[in-house]
Formats: sequence, structure tokens, C-alpha cells
Amino acid sequence: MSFLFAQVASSTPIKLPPIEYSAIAPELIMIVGAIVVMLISSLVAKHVSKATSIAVGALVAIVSLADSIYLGFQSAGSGANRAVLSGAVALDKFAIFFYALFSIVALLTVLLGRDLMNLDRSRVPEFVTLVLLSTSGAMLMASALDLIVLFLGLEILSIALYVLVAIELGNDGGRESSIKYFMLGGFSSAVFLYGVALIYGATGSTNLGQIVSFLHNNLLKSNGVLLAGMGMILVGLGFKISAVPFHFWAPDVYQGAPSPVTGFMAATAKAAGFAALLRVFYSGFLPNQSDWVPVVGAMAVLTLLLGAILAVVQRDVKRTLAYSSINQAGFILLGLYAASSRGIGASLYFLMTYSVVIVGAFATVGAIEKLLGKQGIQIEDLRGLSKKSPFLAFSFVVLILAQAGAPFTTGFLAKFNVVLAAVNSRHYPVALIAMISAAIAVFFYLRMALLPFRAGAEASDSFAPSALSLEDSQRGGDSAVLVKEESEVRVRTRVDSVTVVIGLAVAVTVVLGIWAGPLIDLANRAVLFF
Amino acid sequence: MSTLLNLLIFVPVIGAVISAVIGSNKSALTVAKVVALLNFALAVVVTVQFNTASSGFQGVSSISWVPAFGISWKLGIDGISLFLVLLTAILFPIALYASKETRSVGSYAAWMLLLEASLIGSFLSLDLFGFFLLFELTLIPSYFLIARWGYSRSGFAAVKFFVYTFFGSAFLLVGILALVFIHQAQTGTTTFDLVTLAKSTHLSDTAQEWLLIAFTVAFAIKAPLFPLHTWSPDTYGESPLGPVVIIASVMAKLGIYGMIRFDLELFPRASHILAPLLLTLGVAGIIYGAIVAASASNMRRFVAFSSLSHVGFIVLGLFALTPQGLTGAVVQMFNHGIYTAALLLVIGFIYERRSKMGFEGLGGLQKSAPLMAGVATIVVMATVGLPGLSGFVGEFLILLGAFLSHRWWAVVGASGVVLSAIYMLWAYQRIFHGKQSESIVRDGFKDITKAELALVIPLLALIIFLGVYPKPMLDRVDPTVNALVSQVAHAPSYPSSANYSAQSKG
Repeated sequence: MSFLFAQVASSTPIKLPPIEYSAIAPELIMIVGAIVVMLISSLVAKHVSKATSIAVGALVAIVSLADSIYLGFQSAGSGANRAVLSGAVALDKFAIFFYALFSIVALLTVLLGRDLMNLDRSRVPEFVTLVLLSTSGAMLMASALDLIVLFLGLEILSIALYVLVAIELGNDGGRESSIKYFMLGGFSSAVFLYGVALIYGATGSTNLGQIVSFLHNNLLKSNGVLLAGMGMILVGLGFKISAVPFHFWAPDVYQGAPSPVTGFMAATAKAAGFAALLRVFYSGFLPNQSDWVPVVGAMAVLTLLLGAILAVVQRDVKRTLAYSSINQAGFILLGLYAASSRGIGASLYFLMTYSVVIVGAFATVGAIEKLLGKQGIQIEDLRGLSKKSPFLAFSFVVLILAQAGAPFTTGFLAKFNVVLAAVNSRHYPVALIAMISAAIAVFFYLRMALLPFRAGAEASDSFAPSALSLEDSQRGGDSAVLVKEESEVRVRTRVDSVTVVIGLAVAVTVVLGIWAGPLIDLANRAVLFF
Repeated sequence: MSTLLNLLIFVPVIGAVISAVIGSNKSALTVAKVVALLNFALAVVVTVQFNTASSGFQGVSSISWVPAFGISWKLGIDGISLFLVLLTAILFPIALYASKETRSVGSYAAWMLLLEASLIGSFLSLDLFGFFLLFELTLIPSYFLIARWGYSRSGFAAVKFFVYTFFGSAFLLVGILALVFIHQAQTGTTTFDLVTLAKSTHLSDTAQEWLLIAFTVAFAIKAPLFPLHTWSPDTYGESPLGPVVIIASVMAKLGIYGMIRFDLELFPRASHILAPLLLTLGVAGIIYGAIVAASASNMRRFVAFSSLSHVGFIVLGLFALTPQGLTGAVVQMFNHGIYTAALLLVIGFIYERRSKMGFEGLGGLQKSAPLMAGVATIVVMATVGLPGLSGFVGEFLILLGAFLSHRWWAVVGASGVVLSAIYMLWAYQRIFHGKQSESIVRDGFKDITKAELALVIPLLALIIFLGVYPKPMLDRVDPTVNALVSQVAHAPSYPSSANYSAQSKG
């Protein structure tokens, strides 16, 4: 500070650090896009249809995705991972991987805004804006090299999400969830920030590069402050990834939020939390590995088991998926627990594939809610779905089986990959626990996967043909819908943006589950910058 | 040959897609039958072309799949897997012709063909990843087949089956990965290739024992081996006819096959050390299965427990680790598959006439259905191990082999022969002899139809042919078995599996 005052006093111009805008272009694209959508809607609100604002949002996400791919090629060409913006932000393959991931999730989510969100025309732009802003925060979290910048990203992500959860006006559940999420989220942010302060006290810096070099070169006589700081950062981020015991908000919020928002939250917020967690712990606190690895291991075990066991007793589809996502978070934590580059790669692969699956799954849930005309569906409500909409039943089953880790879906490889990393680091018991938790989880996944094909309660004609044949879409992953003349109850699914999103998620899940090499390689190469 | 092996897997997959596209139309099942018959023809060609002089894998082909982990799509066949592939290919057409499903025929046919592909794939895969993947994949078609087309409590049975087996897979996966990384630490290459792993991994005895246990839990559940069999009575009891034939006759063999292929080849020392444990479980299964089977009141559950007893026999031959015992085990796997399928079909015919699976109310059927009784007699005699029928060959070899190396287990196990005669003949009596119940006198009981006869005749023919002339089978099995047994007997012992440090970041 005194340095700044001295500069001002001496009336020499303050030298601003050079800013390499291209390095943070995906974030900037998201923010500028959000502002543009907001401006359009406020200036020419009357003339903007829902579809237009969504199209603009989708375009922004596509541009950002294109830019991430461009950055990826560029970094592959020069091969140089580097810190930019005075060391506050990293431009490495890790960050670029997440830029692409977040852009994809944003694209898929925005496309659901018209049909699955209960919003009138003037509010759709708000939805798009918030999704884009939230995504920019997530991107900042993934690329931040400084704990303060990381905190900024965390807040941008979270505050936009609090609003998104409550964006539907008539949805009381959404409002309640939003308050709950806000209270707990605010609390966890505070804990995180306090942790940052303690780390600063212990190491003299908030910059991860300086923290790691400090920890390398100095042996702390008493590291209580450091440990407390690390613990608090773990708590703050553990909340975002809904790791046990910081998971209490997840089932309520997942259930109450509109389905597309839940999908977005389960993908983006979780991935951003993990991005930060991986970077901070595996980069910044690597020298103190022996301190945090056991804690992360314990957290992973609890998350794996509790998520799976509590999901078994749920009746509500979204709550079940919430607990299932807790269980999946446990698997991703295994990658960090392995504390090897293989483990990080496994976590990244898991995050990428799981994000697509979960956005697709919640989109399907949203579409089913709309089909059945009610908010919040019970597992029993899925009964007979294959007759009402073969496409939805089918996609739902594929996406559920992918979460269960069925062979020839990305879910199988994702689990295989993290367990492989854990075994590679000789964590045999934890690897075994992870697989056993998967066996427990199979209970509820199978229940949800079978009911759509059971005869419905009202239409108990068990001889009516269930028109959807499973392998059909499972193999090709296409969204072809067989419509038979003889059944009147079936609702023909319109080919709209929702169908595209669900079809895409299913296709990606199956195709990349078979043609597996490239994405695994990509995830394994997306290593951290130091 | 290698093209044929790939075709054996992908022809059913393509058939599954076609049946699925046809959907609920009856013709979907016809397509499936044609595809299954085509696959049978392919399997026959493979059996004929099989080189009886070679003990190694034949028709090996390998395509790199996930290079980052050294995973490849590698197939090959030897004397052990040959007859399991043939068994699968024989039983699928029969199971499909026996299916009388009317609901969602397209999905049913598609799931069946997918099951065939995944089973044959598991028998042929020489890559541990590929094997695990296909081993897991068998669960999904089975689950849907049981749950959607099964009897009243099928949902419960299907979930129990799936979760139970999946639980075992947890150990298998961790075991496979541990093995791969020990290999990687020693040689610097990551590979899932079975042959490479078996040849160039130096495992200490302790490491072998742990890994063998991890692998065997999964296989023992699938087999099922006492005391991990408790899923099987429910599954057998609730599955529809076609799938139950496959699950009892083929899928159960996947467990035994896993023990031979992976336990013996990868962990020969541990197989020796832990043989007494597994032999004891096998023998316990022989006795326990026989006793429970004798008291079973449901015909399907009866088959489940008699199978448990017979699987105990196969394990007895397997872990005797003598050429005779192992040959007997391989031969018996095939024969057990054939006569169990025939047994389940006859039970299915009886069920179809009465819609009841229990023994009560049966009796005296021989009077109304003499032909069916004749068929059942042959099947029961084969099961009991009557000389001249196929069951005898395997049983004799197993007892001989076990007696040579593990005398006391063989002695106790031999009581299973007597016990199986008791419960089998008793069950036969309860169904076909004695006084006819009122309901049967009132409603009548139709004798076996021509269509039904057509289903069991191929199986009966095999039972008699292989009982009289087992040579074509033994010719193909022996070289592989002899090589494997001597490999197990001369496996070197290593003091340690070489320490390796957790991979550091790079």
C-alpha cells in the first residue's frame, strides 16, 4: 500500500501490469456475452423472443468453446504452460480443459431454457445471462493461480447460481432451495476466505506459485496455522463439490431447483469446485502431501459410502440423483486422493463425462416432468414411461446406466480410470470401497432403469408393446423414435432443442464409451502447470 | 480363424441391433433365431478347424483399443474356451426357440443376442480389460431379461443377482489393476494382455495369494461356489425359460472358466497353496447342494441346488491340479451345461402345462406322458453319471484326478455321486411315478409335443454321443490342459514382487 501511496505522491504514473487478454478470452467472451444479452433484453425487450435470447446465449457458448479449442491447439503447438496477469491466472492445459468443459455445459443448459424452464419471455434473457456469468466464474476458478482470484471466481459462480435456483416465479421449492443454498454457500465462502487468510499468514502469499516455493524451501516449526488454512479451504471447496460431511444442502437444493438449473449446478459448480480443489491441493500444497492426502481419503470414503447408501432409500428422482451425484463426487475425489498425475487425469476424464451425463439426465428429468405435467417426480412415476415417450425412457435409462458404470458407456471408463489411479498409488482398500459403493449404488440405478419399461399403473395392459427397444439407441446413440400407429397414448417427442440436448448427451456417452482413447488421452495430457 | 472369432461376437451384436429395430413385431424373434443358428454354424466351423496338436491360443488377433493404458481388443481360443463357446452357440438357438414371449419381443430378442455376444466375448477375450468389460456386460442383458420377462418376484431376484455379482466384480477389478501395476513396475510397460502378464510378472507367493483371492471371489459368485451361491435359487426360480437355460448352463460356467483361465495361469503358486481351501469349498458345496436339493419343493430351486453340487464337483477336479482332474473339469463344464439345459427344458414343459413350479400335485405323469418321461429318464441318468452317458466321463475323470493328488477330498466328494443319485431319482419319482393327483386326472396332462421334442433331441443326442465317444472332445481339451498343468506344477517361486514406489507426479 505504502508503495502505491509513494507512487501517487511522486506523481509518476502507476505502471499497470500488462494484461494478456487472449489468455482469459473464454471468461471475457462469457461476460461480454452476458452483458450483450442483458442489454438486448433491456433495450429492445418487446421485440426479443425467447428463442432469440437463447440463440444468442448458445452462440456465446459456442464461440467460447471454439476459443478454448483454439487455445488448446495453441498450447499444444507452443507446449508452454504459463502464468499470465502477473501470475494470477494460469494458461495451462488444465485450465483450457475446463474452459471447454464449462462452455459445453453452458451450451447444453442454455438450450434447455425455452422448453424446460417455466419463464416468461422477459425473464429468459435473465436466465441466459446468469448461466453465462456463472460459467465465467467457474472458468476463473479453474484457471486461478491466486487464492484471491479463486475466491472471486467462486463468488461469481455462486451468486449467479443462488439467483438461478430461484428464477422461476411460481416455484416455492426453488425459492426455499435458493435461501438454503445461499445461507450455506455464504457460510462456506466465508470459511474458504478465512482459510485463505490463514494460508497468507502461514506462507506470506496468496499466490499458489509463491506458496509452493515457500513450502518447498522452508520447514515450518509449527504448522498449525497452515494446516488450519488448508482445512478451511478444503471445507469451503468441499461444500461446492458436495463431499460428505458438507453435502447436506445438495439433496434439498437439487430437488427444489428447476431441472435444467440442477443439471447445470451438478455439472458446473461441481466441476469448478473440483478444478479449484485439484489445483490448490495438487499444485499449491503438494509439498505437504502427507498432511492432506489422508484427510481427502477419509472424505472420499465417507462420500462414496454415504452417497450410495442414502440414495437407496430415496423416493424422489431428483433427490436420488442428488445422492448419486454425491457418490460420484467420491469417485472424483479418489483421483485427488491418488495424488498422481494419473489421478488428476482420471478426475478430469470423470468430470468431463459426468458433466455431460448429468446435464442430459436432468434435462430428461425436466422433460419427463413436463410430459407428466407435474413438478418433482417420484421414482414410481417413471412406471410405464416407455409407452408415453420411448425416446425419453430410453435416454433416461442410458444416462442412468452410464452413472451406474455400465460397460460401453463413458461411466464405466470414468470409474475404471479413477480406481486404476487409486490402485496405482497402492490405495487398495479405498479402491475396493469405491467399487463396493458402486455395487450398492446399482440398487437404485437399476430400479430407476427398469421402471420405465414396467406397465404403468393406469395402463396395466401388459401385452401392449413397449415400442422402445433398448439396443437401438444404445448402440447408435441416435435419437430416432419409433412411433407405432397402434398406441394412442404415446406422445410424439418434438424434435426441439431439448431433444437435441438429450440426444447429444446420450450419443456422447455411448460413442465415447466405445471409442474411448482420444478423450482419455486428452484428459491425461491436461496436466497442471506446475 | 481370427476373423471367425470376431464374427462370433459381432454377428449377435448386429442381430441384436436388427431385432431391436424391428421392435415388437414377431419377426424380431425369428431374426434372432436365424442369427443364433448362424452363430452356431460359425462355432461348429471353429471346432472343426481347431488344431488338436496345439496347446496354445489359436486364431489370436489383437487391435489396440485404449493405447494410454495398453488396452487392446485381443481374442484367441484354446482347448478350454473352445467347448464353452460351442456350448453357448448350441444353447442360444435352443433357448430362443423355447421362448414363448409375447411382450416386447424385439427387446427380448435383442437382449438375448447381446447376452450371447457378451458371453462368447468373455470366453474369447485374452485382454484382462476386455474380459472384465464383457464379464460385466453379461449382467445388463441378464438383469433386464430376468426383471422384465420373469415371474412374480423377478424384480427382486434380478436386483439380487446383479448386485451380488457386481459386488464380486469389485474385487476382480481391483485385483486386475493391482496385477497390471505390479507388472508395470517390474517391466515398465502397462498392458492388460493375459499372455504377457502371465509370462513376465514375478509375483511373490503372498502377492499371488491376495490376488487369487480377489479374482476368485468374483468367479466363485458367478459359478456359484458354496457359500457364495445364495443368489442362484432366486435367480433360477424367477427367470423366464430362455434366459434361465443360459444363466444356469452357460453363465455359471463363466465363473469356473475364470478360475481356470486366470487363477491357474496368472497365480500358479497360489493355486497350489490355496487349493485345499477351494477344494474344501467345492466338497462342501457337493454335500450341501445335494442335501438342500433333496428337500427342495420348487423344481427350479431344485436345479439351482443340484447345480451347486455339480459345480462343486467341477471345482474338485479343477483344483486337484492334475491333468485328469482338469480335463474332467473342462469336459464336465460342457456336459453339465448340456444336461442342465435339458433338465430345465423338461421342467419348463411341465410348468407350461400347469403354471406351477412346485413339486406338489405332481406324480404319475408317466402314465399320461410316457415320451416326456423317457426324455427325462435319459437326462436324469446323465446327471447322475450313468456310464455310457456324457455325465459319466467328466465325473470319472474328476474323481480319478482328485484321488491322485488330494485323496481325502476325493473320498468325501465321491459321496456326491451317491447323493446325486438319491435326490435326482427321488425327484424323478415325485414327478413321474406314483399316483396321479386329482387335478392331473381331471385336466389331463399332454405329452411332449413335436416342437418340444425338437428342442431336447439335439441335447439328448449330445448326451449319448459324448458318453459313448468322448474322443473328439478329449483330443481338443487335452493338449491345453496338459500344458497348463505342467505350467502350474513348475511355476517358479519369487521372493518378492519387487517394491515399487507410488508413481510420482510427472
